[in-house]
Parts: sequence; C-alpha cells; structure tokens
Amino acid sequence: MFEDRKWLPVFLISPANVLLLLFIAVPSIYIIWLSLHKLTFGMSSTFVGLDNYIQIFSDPIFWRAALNTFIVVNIVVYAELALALILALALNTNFWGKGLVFSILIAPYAVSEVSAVVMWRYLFEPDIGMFNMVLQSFADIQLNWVRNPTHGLTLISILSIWIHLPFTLIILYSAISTVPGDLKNAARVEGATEWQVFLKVTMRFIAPAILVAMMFRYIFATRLFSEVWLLNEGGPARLTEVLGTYLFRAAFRYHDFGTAAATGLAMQFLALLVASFYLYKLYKRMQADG
Amino acid sequence: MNVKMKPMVGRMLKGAVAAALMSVTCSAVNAAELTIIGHKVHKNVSTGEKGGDFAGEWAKASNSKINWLTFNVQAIHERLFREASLGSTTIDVGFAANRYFAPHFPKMFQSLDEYNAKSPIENFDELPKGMLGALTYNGKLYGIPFRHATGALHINTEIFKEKGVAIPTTFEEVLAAARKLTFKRSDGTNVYGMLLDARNPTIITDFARAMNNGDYLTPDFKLKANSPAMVKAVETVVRMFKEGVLPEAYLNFKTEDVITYMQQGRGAMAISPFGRYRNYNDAKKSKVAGKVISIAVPKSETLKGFNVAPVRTEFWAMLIPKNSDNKDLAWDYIRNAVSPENTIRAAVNGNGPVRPSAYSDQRVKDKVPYAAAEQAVLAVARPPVPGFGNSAKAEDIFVEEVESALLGRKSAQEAMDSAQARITPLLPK
Repeated sequence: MFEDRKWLPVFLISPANVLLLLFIAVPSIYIIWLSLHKLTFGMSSTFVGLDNYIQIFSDPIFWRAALNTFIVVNIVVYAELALALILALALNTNFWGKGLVFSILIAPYAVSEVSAVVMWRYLFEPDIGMFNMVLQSFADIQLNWVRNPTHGLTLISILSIWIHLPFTLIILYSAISTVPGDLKNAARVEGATEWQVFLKVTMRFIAPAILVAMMFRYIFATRLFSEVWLLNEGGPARLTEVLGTYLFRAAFRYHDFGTAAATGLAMQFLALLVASFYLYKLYKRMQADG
Repeated sequence: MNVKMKPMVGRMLKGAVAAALMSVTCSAVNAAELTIIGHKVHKNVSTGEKGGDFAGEWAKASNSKINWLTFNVQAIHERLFREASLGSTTIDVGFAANRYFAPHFPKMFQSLDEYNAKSPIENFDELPKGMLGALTYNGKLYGIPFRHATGALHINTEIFKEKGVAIPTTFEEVLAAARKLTFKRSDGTNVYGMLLDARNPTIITDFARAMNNGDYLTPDFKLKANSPAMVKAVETVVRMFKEGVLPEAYLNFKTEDVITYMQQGRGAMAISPFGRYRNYNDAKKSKVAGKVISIAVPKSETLKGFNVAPVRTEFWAMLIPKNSDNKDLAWDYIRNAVSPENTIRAAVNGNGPVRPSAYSDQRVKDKVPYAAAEQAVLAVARPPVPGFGNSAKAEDIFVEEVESALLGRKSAQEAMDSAQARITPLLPK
C-alpha cells in the first residue's frame, strides 16, 4: 500500500485530521446549521433563514456589546504587551531574588478566574473596598464600577490584564532570552545607544513572538466572559455587556440556541478578522526571513 | 509461551466475568437511586433537624438512595430543561419556579394525573388551585407545588432600638424609617435603611402593590409596566437610591448581598421572602442572630381593602422528566414530600408550606415565629408574573430599564414606557 510512499504522509497525519474533523469541523457545521434555526428546550427546530442574524444585528445591545468587547480587548492586549515587555526586559537582567519575582509575576495565572474576580470585586467594593478606601482618602475619588459603566469597563480591563499578563510575559521573556548577547555587544561596539540596541536588535528578534502573543491574546480576549459575568453581569443597565455575556444570556438564560449560535459565529468572524491581519504579517515576515 | 499464556488468559477471563457481575450488581443497586435537582433550600427543608429528615426516612423505607443536585435558580432550570430534552436522563425529580413554567412543559415532563389517580396524594384537594392551575397545560397536570416564597419585611430590631424608631405599621412609615435608619457608625460602617435584591424585578412589584395594589404583568398577560402604580414604585426606589437609603452597590445587589449585609448588621430592613428569617438569624453566620424579626409588609395608608400589602408570592413545584427511568419512584417521593404531615415538617424546617392547614399545626406555631404573619400575607399575595417562554428575556429588559432610571439616564416614566414597548412583543399572543 505504501510502496510508492505516496499515501504514507496522508496515513500518518490522518489521526490528527480525524480529530480535527470530529472536534472542530462537525461542531462548526452544527453551529452554522443551528444559527439558521429557531430552537429551544422541548421544541423541534424550525428553519428561519437569516432571522437570527437579523435579530442580533438589529439589537442595539449586541452592538454595544461588540463595541465594549473591542474597547476592552484593545486596552487589555496592548497594556498587557507593554507591561510584559517592560517586565521581560527587567527580568532579563541578573538581580537578587529574580526567581521569586518571576514566580510572583506568573502566580496570577494559577489563580482561578472566579477567585480573581471575587478578590478584585471586594478590593474595589464601593462601600468597604480597601483600594477604593485608599483612593478616597488620598485623591477623593473612587472606581465606582457598580454605578459608572466606564469605571466598570476599567475594572474589567484591570482584572483581565492581571489574570492574563503571565501568558504574554512568558512568551516575551522566552523570546528575549534567546537574543544573542554578542550581537548586542557588536551593536554597542559600533556605537549604538542602549535604546538603539533595543530597537534595532532586540525588537527585531522578538517581533515574531510579539505577533504570536498578540494574536493569541486577541483571540482569547475576544472570548472575554467570566470577568464581566462574575463582576457585574454586564450591568448596570447592560452598559458593560460584552459579546461573551450576550451569547451566554441567549444560550443559558433565554435558551434561544439559534440566536446564541449566530452570536457565536459573529464573535468568531470578528476574532478571525483581527487574527488574519496578524497572521498575514507573520506570514510576510516568515517569507522575508526565507 | 502458549503454555504460559493459558493461565493468564484464564485469569483475565475470570476477572472479566467478575467485573461484569459486579457491574450488574452495581446497576441493581443504582436502580434504587433517585436523583433530585433543586436549590439547596429544597434539600435543607426536606432533611432539616427541627422538623426532621423526612426525605431520608422515605429513602430508608423505600430502600433507595437520594442523590441531591443543588444549584442556583438559573442553573437549576437550565440543567433541568436540558436533561429533560435529551434522549435519557439521570434526573428523576426536578424543582422548577413558577416564573419558568412554559407551554413547552408537556414535551419535557410527565403528566401526573395518571400517577395521582393510581397512587393519590393525601388530601390533594387542599393544594392551592391557583398553583395547580399554573402547572396545568391542555387539561393535564405537570407538577406538584412544594414551596412558596412570600415577601416579608425583615427588621433588625437592634438598629430600631438604637435610633429610637418604632416598628412601622404603614408603608409610608417603612419609607420614613428607612431614611431615619440610614447612617454612618463611629467606626465608619455605613448602615442602610433598606436592602433589596436589585436583580429581582418583582421587588418593584412589591412596592407597587404595597402602595397601590399595582401589577406588572397580570395572569392573562396584560402588561402594566407603565401604569401609574408601577411608575410610582420605580420613582420611590430611585429616590431611595439617590438619597443613599439603598446601598451604593445596590445596582449589583443580589440575594446573597442582601443576606450578607443583614447578617453583618449593615441593613435596618430588607424586603425578601419570609424564609430568609433563618439566614438573618443564623447564629453561626449572623452578627445579629435573634434580633431580626419578620413581619408582613405593611400596606399604604391609602390602600383600602387589605390588612397587609398584597405582595408577591412565588412557588416551586416538583416535576418528573418524561425521559426519567424512575418515574414510579419519583412519584412516590413527590407524594410523600407533599403529604400533610411532611408539609408541616418542612414548614418547621423553614419551608413556605403550600397547604394552608400547616399554619394551624401547633409545631409550626411554636417553631416558626413568622407563621401567623406569613399566613396573613399568603391570603392576599399573588405571583408577580405568570410563566411564559420569553419570561427571562422580559425580566432582563425590565431590570435594564429600572437600572437606567436608577442611573438617571431616563425618568421613571420613560424607563417604564420603554419597558412596556420592548416587552409587549415578547408576550404570548
């Protein structure tokens, strides 16, 4: 069968393909089918064409949720990248207690999202929250996430950055560790300043890692859900709703599976749109590097 | 090699036979397991100490084992409906709240008339007709009411004494007392005059009923969200929020927050079901245990024809999924749980009894301090909303509009007009 070895590669990768087909393709096709039907518990499905899409696209809350998701995702991804880059550069130097500092920095990744949200929620509780009391005493301000939607989205962003920073940090730290020291020294010998060394040497080396981290974080952050749902369920007045909570309501509160599927596909499309830009950049760079 | 393999194969075969036998034996044992899905309170009132563990006694007598699955309200219904829609399920008895009752019940749940005819519930006629009616579709009964949750006014008597305020007898006095009892303690702790569950829209209905006997949605699906009574109720709650009588975190307040604030002595009053009396007076968790009393919500001075406010009453029923393999056992559990005797025992454990006669029992009178008040309210209380397919969606819209008014983005009238316009298309035609 494999004498000409033509089928061998196909055979060898077939388990992975079967898994992909079973766990990605089949559910995806089902979701597409579902998005074109009206279906709830105890009812048989009815084909409704694009009604579910029309329903979500004509719902102002969907667009508000999309805008909130876009704002939070961009804040979270870029703030995380900036912070992770600074921390990775600092960690790339030798100092006493580096291991401990590194452990502390990646510790939030081991904390469950539920615990993290509860912790931050009570730190910023308007009445008894420690951080809000400190803010109140020193600057006469409060992060009133319960009443003010902008403050709500700010706390959601802080929370998300705190939880996911270790992911970006580990990727960037690994990339920075691989930058050859002699190349940087050569640049210094040529008279480059430290800023120029960072910009022209380090950044060029870690650019693909930044793109990878950015792409992953964009995709994961678009699925933002637990931070919002556990903090304020998208309130007050659904002003901090994001696409993840919009989908959750449709599926698990209203049991409106057609609308939920259509929302899921819309989210997927948005995530792909963003990811494709970075994938294209990555592809071009790989081509340029031969 | 073959010679060595033979005993090994023999051992393996013996092992396989033994495993198969064990599995058969285990399934025989599992056949007597009854899985019930509900809220923790359903388990607590069926297995409590004061009234006794009648669920456990039933399990022992019927040589079965009860497996309780407890979740929060939303998760119970999501899981129950999902399980009941599958080809088969391990759930045998499910609790559902009245606002989740929907016309698609007959496709998911077992009609119980035949079971009741074959093995009737003792004194079935005593069960409230209104509750049974809400569980009847196309002339068939799909659930048996087990518990009611009726609104009460809970009062922290210590704070009242501290500030020299008398226990209110009218709704106007409730509002005035709430203002007087909002203050900051010397240690910086804020005490709020009133605590309400913001995510429960029926709270507004309580206000509308206490002041004007108003309604939000009538049993025949007439929406009255923008009626003068409802608008006035929203205005009252908005004013309380602006004045700081309700906590700053009120917009995010859930049942658990109300319980926590009351237990910590940070609330002078709360409007919530009578059953919360136990939470507020829980010696293990509450700083004010023994100091909270639960009374009927007083009616407005101007409301005629009532002795107390006709606030909301909601109820829970037990249902059997159509795809359960243990329907006979499930029915036996249900008829046992709602027997007159066990209704009394559950009431002593803190349940809202669905049989009026339970309130006349001496055990209930002795061990449930709020029993007489609850009985008086139950006589005039009614469900705030009937169940229908889009009830959760309508509830979210209502909460969103009330919150818009609380934030000052809309007036109470604008918010309720908007709620009226958005909810109307969701109602059954």
